[in-house]
Order: sequence, then C-alpha cells, then structure tokens
Amino acid sequence: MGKSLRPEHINFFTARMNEHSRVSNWLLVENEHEFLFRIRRELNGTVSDVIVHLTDAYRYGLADFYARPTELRAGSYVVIGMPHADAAPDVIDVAKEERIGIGHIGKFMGALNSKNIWEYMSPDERRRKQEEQQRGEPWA
Amino acid sequence: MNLLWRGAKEAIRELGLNVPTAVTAILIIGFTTVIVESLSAPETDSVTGFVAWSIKSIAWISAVSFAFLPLWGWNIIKVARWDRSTRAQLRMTALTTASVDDQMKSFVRNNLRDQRYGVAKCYVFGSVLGQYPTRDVDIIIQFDSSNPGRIRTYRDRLRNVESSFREFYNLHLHVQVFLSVEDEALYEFLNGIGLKECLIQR
Repeated sequence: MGKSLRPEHINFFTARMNEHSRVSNWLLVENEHEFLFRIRRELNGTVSDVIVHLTDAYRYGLADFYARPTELRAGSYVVIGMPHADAAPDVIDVAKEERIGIGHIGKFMGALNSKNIWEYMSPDERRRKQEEQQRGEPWA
Repeated sequence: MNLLWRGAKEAIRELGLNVPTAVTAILIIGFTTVIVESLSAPETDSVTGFVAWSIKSIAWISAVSFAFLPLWGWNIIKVARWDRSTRAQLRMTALTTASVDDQMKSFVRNNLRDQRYGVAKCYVFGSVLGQYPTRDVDIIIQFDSSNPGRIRTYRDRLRNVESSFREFYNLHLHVQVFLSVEDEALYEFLNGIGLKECLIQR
C-alpha cells in the first residue's frame, strides 16, 4: 500500500509491457497514493484496457485487497511489484470472485494472453492444483 | 603506540617524504657520513677503528632522532586532535541519525494511536532500526477489524498520515497491513523480518 517501490521495480514492469506482443500501449494513471497503469491490449482482434495496480506490499493480503484503489474493477490486475514479495493464497481466491487477478509480473505476462485475465494460473499454480487434486485436497 | 607511529608518519610526510624514502635517506646519509669519516680518519688498529665507527654511527642516529623529536611531538598532538574531532563528528552524526529515527517513530506512534485509524498493533522494522541509510520507513499495522468497509475507511485515513509523513521527512511510509483475524499471518511475517520494534499494542 503506497508508493515505496524503487525506480528499478517500475522500470522492470514498464520494460516488460513494452516487449509484450499483446500490449499496444500503456500509460501511468495519475494517483497520489498508488502506482496504477492502464494497459491497452489487443487479443483476438479486440482492444481492451486493463487497469493494473503495481503494489509495493511485502505480502499482499486481504487487508490490501479490501482497501484497493477504487479504479480497480472486474478485469483489473494487481501486480506484486517486488520480486521477494508475495500474495496470501486466500486473497487470490477472493479476488478471483471479483474477477480481479493477482500475481507477479511473470504471471501477469501470461495472463495478458488470456481472455479472462483473472482466471489465468501460472504453470506453478497449475502444477500445485493438479497435485492437490490428486491428493483429494481442495486447492488453496 | 598507534598515536606515536602515526605522529612519526605525519612528521615525515610534512618533510615531503614518505616513510620508506625517509628511512632510506637517513640510512644512506648516515652510513655515507660514517664511511667518509672513517676513511678520512687516521689509521688505527681494527678494533679501535670499529669501536670509533660504532660510536659515530650511534651518535649520528641519536642526533638525527633528537632533531626529529620536536616535529614528531608536534605531529602526535596534531593526530590526537584529529582523532578527537573525528570522534566528536561521528558521535554527532550518530546522535543526529538516532534522533531523526526516534522522531519518525514518535510521529508514527503519536498519529496512529488515535482510534480513528483502527490500529490494534503497530511495529516498525527495517532501516529505521538498523542505522543505515533509508529511503522509506517500514511499518506493519494490524487493524482492529476485518470488515472490508471499515478497512477501506481506515486505509483512507491512513493515507493522510502517509502524506504528512512524506511532507515532514521526505520519505515514504511503507505500510504492510493485516486484518484483526490474521494473527497467524502477522506472526509469520514478524518472524521473517528480523529486528523490529512494537510501537502500538492494544
């Protein structure tokens, strides 16, 4: 929560957006308290905007999600901005119900290729889900 | 002892020399003088000649050392003064840093104690406790509620504190937040961060 990300974190994110084949352009949304981006993507001939919250949270949890910027709506995405940060597993499920995706930049890069951006699972998440389904446990 | 050595080095430097050059110069001049003296002296037997040569050498080295003493002493005093002023400067820097860190912690504590912010627990961690340069101040907050609407309200109010903090100290307040029901997640996080200080505990 806030604008504590270092310039290198932001530069890394914008560099990835510049090189993504689905992203036609992006812009920084003016916000005093958070880093927000409007990413324009082209998917199957359709152009749509994705609002991205680049968060500085060390551990993105439910409290962060409840207090998310009002600009975030269905189809938006929360990108974990710091490489050593992570998201609590329960918040990913709660956000999915609101049709908002959460993940690191790598996962977001993959999600940009999906129509329903919030449903995309990283290869790691897919593997974990499969393993837990095989064990008969609900996936967390 | 260190002071004596540094004083000697400084004195040599003041003569426009470095230590090895000075030592070499003294030895060369000394031995040349002694050798020239010995050669020009009337011949005596070898034992008397050796004794005279030794006495001359010792006398010469003592004379040079004696001549060097005032300069050495003066430089010992100079080095000691530098040490005193450097120590005082370091102490002052440490005091200033500590005092700013304490001020920042007081700022957070005094502002977030107000119940309007819904802070049940507040910890500070990271550079503000570590005496190393900081670019933000890391704090952890556990709210007294888990209600989404209330969390949003608390969060909006917290943003004002963050803005004031930034205006005062030109640093970001980096806030990690937890719900009242997230004790386990909070303690797991606290265990992973090392040095921390509790500012508020209700």
